[in-house]
Amino acid sequence: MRLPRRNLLRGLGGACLSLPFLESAGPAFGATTPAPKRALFVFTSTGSVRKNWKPSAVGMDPPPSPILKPLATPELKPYLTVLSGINAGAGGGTNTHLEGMACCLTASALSGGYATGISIDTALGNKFKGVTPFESLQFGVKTRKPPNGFGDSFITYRDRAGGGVEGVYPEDNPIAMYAKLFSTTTGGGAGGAPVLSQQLARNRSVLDFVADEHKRVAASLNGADRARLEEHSTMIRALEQSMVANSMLTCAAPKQGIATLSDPEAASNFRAISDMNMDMIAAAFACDQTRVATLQYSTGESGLNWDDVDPALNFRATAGRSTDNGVGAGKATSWWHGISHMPDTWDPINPNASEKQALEVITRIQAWFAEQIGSLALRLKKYTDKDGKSVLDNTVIFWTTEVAQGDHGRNDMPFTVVGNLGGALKSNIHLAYNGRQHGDVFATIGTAMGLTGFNTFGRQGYTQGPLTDWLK
Amino acid sequence: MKASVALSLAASLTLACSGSIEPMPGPQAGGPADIAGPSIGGSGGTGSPSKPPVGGPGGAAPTPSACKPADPLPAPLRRLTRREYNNTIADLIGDTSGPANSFSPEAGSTGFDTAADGAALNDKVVANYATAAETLARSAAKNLPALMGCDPVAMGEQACATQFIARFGRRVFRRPVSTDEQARYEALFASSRQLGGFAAGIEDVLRAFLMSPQFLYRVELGAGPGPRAGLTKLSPYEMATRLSLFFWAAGPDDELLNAAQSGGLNTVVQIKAQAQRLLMHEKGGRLVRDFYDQWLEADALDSLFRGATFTPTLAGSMRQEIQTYFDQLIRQRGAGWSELMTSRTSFVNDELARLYEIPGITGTQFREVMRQGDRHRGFLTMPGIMTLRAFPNEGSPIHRGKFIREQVMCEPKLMPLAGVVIPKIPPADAGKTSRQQLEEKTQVVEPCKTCHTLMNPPGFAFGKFDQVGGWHDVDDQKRPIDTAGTLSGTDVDGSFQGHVELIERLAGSKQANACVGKLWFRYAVARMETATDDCTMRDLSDAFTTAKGDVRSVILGLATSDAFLYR
Repeated sequence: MRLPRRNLLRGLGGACLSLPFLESAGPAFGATTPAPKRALFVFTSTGSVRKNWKPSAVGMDPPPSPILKPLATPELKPYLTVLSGINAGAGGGTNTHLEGMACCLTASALSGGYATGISIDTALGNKFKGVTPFESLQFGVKTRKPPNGFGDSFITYRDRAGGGVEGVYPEDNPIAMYAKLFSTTTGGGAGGAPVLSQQLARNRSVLDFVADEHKRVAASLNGADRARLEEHSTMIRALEQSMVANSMLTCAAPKQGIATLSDPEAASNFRAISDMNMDMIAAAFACDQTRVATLQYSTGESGLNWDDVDPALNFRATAGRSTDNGVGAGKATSWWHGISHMPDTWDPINPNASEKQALEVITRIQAWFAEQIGSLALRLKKYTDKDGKSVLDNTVIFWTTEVAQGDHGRNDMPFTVVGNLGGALKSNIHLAYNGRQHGDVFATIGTAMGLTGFNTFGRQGYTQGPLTDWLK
Repeated sequence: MKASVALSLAASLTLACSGSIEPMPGPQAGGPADIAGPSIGGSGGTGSPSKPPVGGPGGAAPTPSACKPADPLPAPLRRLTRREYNNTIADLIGDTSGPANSFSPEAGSTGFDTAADGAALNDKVVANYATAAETLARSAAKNLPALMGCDPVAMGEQACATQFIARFGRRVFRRPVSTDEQARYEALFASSRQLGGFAAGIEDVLRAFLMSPQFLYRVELGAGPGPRAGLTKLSPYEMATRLSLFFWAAGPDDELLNAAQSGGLNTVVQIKAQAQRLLMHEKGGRLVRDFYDQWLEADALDSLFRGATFTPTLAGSMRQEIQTYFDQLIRQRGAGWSELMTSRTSFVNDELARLYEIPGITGTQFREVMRQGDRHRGFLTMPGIMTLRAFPNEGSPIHRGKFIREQVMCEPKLMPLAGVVIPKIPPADAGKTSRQQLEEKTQVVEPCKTCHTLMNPPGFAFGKFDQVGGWHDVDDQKRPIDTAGTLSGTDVDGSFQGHVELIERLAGSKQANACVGKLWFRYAVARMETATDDCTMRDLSDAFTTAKGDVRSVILGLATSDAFLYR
């Protein structure tokens, strides 16, 4: 009837007993094991707004630009690199969205609007044949069936049997990708691939279930009893959140964010698919399922109407000119490509109301993507890598687009980088170039990953080799 | 045997409380409305020596009473205690490691772990449940056929999982799993199976079961109005749960659940029959052992320091003796207060026998002995009890006296007044015995005098027992030890020569009898008694005051009282 000391001691012992819950979350590898280096290429459509993207100063610790603000948080800014003044013109041609797509990851010469060389993701992936279950993975978010714009919507090219190259569409169906990656029976989880613990996903699923059950039982009770079970439910939710927030994971299949999906191309699924893709990319990297991936949002010359994604985003502008690409003067639209062409000039001295609004909307769209990329980086940061650092520490995320901005130009591309490949690259820096070709960015990444064969990348005569002042 | 002469304690208790006060509604088919009917104590008594008495033709006449009927059990939703959790887990999956030992201890107002207000809810509690569920499920899932009761290979995975959820869930929830619940657990199974395979699916179902509020809480939705205002009937499954958690500190077995299912827990006769079964079942010993263990604070023995001879093994033996004594005397022999206080019987192993100076006992096995001579009576002189109220190197008369007044007589806590500086008691020396030193410091002037005059004498009575219950005829200066004194402020005041005479006085004390009744009430009803419980309290007191009152009758009476049958 008192509180024996024995029980107090046992109570303290509870701290040890709580270990199994985080067992799956603790570092499982010695800190001396070298970690793999990974690269992720993120594509978003129809360019940026240069003046709102480019930091106002060059060099270390640049001030955050309006678009890059979400990546300039204390947690992410050390990883952030801005590469300005780089051109993506190796393909030549007439500067269309289609050509921008073809050149985007290949930096190759074009033929009939398509690339003639393989893309960087394929080139890197070729180095991991037999090393990882998947040489590279292509994730898509609504890259097909555009109501407007081009349907040729891939940026990955690989060698074609019998010569030449061919395009590779990204996988738009995250459920199919999930099965491919995380099913122990049909996916990369089986057959000698790294064992996936799946523990995090299961922990979350069980806690979800139990929190829900407390709510259900609470609903059958009254007064204090009801409040008590609701409180219990809330505490389980908090436990789940803290488990997710505090646990560093070594390798775990993510929770399958979407259980069923009638139409992966429905714009209403855009965000959910984006989230699920990011979960899968982080897990696939952490589990060494692959070291190279692309994540493509929509297509070049995007036909996406943002109102279909979520009207609350308010990515909507009113056309000022009758010539505005298919919109019509005075008409409001959330059509991405349409809005991208509304500004008459891209650095207007005295912008009219329509131009101002369009620039503001595109800026917000770009900042929204910066936020998504930031959340992806944080997902990577939550996984402990084999060297004891986070997976983000050994990753580089390269964010690109098919045109610099709505004027179709491909000079001074808005290239944003998160990650430094274990310190092989400088970060928290704005590097300003004057006309280097973007194949050199890929040569730099391949080199920084410690791979051979990346002295140059892309079209000869354009590429000069790695950006040495980016390399550490 | 006691059973044949037992008084109808349960009858008097219940009749006095409800049967004779208000006309009961007529029996309702299948409903528990007839639970409190006047036949409660009058039937069912078997007289069989192997069964506890529940009444009989020779029972004492019910005492007419003008008190109010007792309140039902407290309404607050109660969680399983650590004991209940451990025992239930052992029943469900065979894990006897005591997974709840690391949970926060209960700290309710009654002093017993059953107290309804004893279990605070906080994030640590929630994390403990999650951790325990994870650990238990992981280890149980290593032997699926044993856990599931079906072979997934032979039967088919889905069929086996479906059956497992239904059958295992019934025991976890202490009622059948609803169709909706079945579907939800099957969905969880499917989801985890997809992630980690069949075993993972089952493991996570088990994990969710063990974290479910329907496992952790005693959810009582009730089954309609009871026989009078303010009372709500319990469903048969809820009744089964109350019974099993009370008698076994564990969930119901299949027999009890089947009884609930088949209408076998609807009448008081049925409930009493189950209560008897539970009490006399092997697991029924938990109730008696745990109640007395907690009352006497025997669980503290493990953490005491009493010098080199007091080993953890010895501490365990002492605790075991106390528990075995009450279990054997109450459950098997129908002992009442007087016998418990004065019996020469006890149960010892080799090391306890050495303390008792009983020759010829070897081995760690416990066996029954008669404690001859004038040293030992009942439980108060047991080594464990003496050890608990002692200093590391000698017995503590003040703690022993305080224990008797507070815990045996249920007197209010005797605490020094605020601001009183406790004087340093000088060691015994050639001039004065330690008793003389203590008396000079505590019994001469206020503010110490009043209380210490009450508590010191019964403490000095045990002066010949040292800090581990060993016997000394003289003190370390070879002087005789004075154990005489006068008991005051009780219903059995008077002088005594030593502890045996004191014990004999206490054995006849109504106050002490009533005290034990009160404590049983607190344990069973999970709260402190209030003015509205006067009737119940008086009946409990009356029951014990008959001196030969069989404790089993009191227990069964409590378990069939309104407070227990309704909410």
